[in-house]
Amino acid sequence: MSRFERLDEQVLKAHEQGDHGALIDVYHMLGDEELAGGKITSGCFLLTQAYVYALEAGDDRANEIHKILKSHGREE
Amino acid sequence: MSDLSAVMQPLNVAKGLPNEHYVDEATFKEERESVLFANWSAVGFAHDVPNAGDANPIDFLGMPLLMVRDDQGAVRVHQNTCRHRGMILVSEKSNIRGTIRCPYHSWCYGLDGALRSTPHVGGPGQNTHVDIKRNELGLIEIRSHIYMGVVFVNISGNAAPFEEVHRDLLARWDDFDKPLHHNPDSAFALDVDSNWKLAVENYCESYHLPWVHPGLNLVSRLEDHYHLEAPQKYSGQGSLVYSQLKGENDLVFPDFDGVADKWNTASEYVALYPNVLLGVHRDHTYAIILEPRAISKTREHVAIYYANSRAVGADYDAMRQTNTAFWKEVFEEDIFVVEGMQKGRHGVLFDGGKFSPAMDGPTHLFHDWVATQINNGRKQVAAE
Repeated sequence: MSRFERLDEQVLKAHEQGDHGALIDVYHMLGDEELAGGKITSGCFLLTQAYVYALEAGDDRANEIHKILKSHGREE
Repeated sequence: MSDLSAVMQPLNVAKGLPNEHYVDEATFKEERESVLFANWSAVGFAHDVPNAGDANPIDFLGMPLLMVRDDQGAVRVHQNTCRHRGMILVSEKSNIRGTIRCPYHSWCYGLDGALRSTPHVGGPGQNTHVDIKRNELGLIEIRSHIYMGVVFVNISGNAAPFEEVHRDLLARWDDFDKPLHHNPDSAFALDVDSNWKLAVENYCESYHLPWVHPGLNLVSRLEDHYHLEAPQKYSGQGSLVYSQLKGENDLVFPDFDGVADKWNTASEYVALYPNVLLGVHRDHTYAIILEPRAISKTREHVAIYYANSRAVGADYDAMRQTNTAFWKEVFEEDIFVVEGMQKGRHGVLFDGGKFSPAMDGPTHLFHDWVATQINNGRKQVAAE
């Protein structure tokens, strides 16, 4: 199983179980990796996913992700 | 269109609302707008959302509402519809830990209704757009007001403030306008095959007590009752012989702080137009919300409240149980009459009914108020 397949499975399982923490973890990690590789749009896409689930869950990481998105002109 | 001219005559010559108001779907829709949406109608209890973040979706005659308790502890009511594609936001009773997320495109709203995020609205990973003005796209908040534990809303947004509309009753019942205490064991619901108005009409008058509530009559005879008549506002009945429930060792429920002596042996029962029935006693109050589920289907949501936290604690478990059972029996005794009146209104020769000039004043006032609201609605439609 490739890393992508493993993460995909992890995300689907987290959706099924309503596990916002896991969703935030995976999307946050992937978003950071994309940004580190200079892929701003896909990085912000993935961080947006993490941001939305963090907002919904009232997870403190929402503030941190918001700052990153804002610094790239992607959030208010 | 129903003819309401006879309804608005003086009591001694008036007739009741015509049959259409109980059996005709078009008239039911007219009442939805002119009677229920145009005024302060009850949609739930504040205790339905006891904790910050609690969200309770409500279908009020097809209108999707979302009652929430916000982070400051205030109860708010929003239209339960996303400002983007009109998706229903919350489908089940839940606790919102952070924001309300639309399940369709994930627009996120705070409990205060503020639009917090619009993911990918400007394209992938771009959550802003010059034409998406978040400060203009918050959830639509419905005017709401809490009184006697009941959450009232004015959907049209055009009614005068609640405190102004009901100033008279608020003053009359000032002794009970205090924090109320509720235990979930003191609530129940009754489903009735009747138009919601018939429950109001029955509640307004004491005329039926000797026949329908023989037990109640034993402790509170017809001649001990008086009418409560506030034209265009509320109506009901009062009793002069309220006696407190007594438990073991003559235990009684604690009184409301500072309740006036006149309430020692008195109680009052008011239909607060349009769809709330209230009762007050020195040691407890109750509220019945009439939820119109269809033209001939009503759910009566009953909640009993006490004067302090002691009365809703373990020491009073048995007495609360007895009190709840008492009121449940009383309200169940009324079911056959409201259902019978509903059936009777399919009699095509029924003319709305002849009121007793001595006994039916409070009921006539309700009819007169409904007719006034409908006429107001018709005038508005004609002017548009």
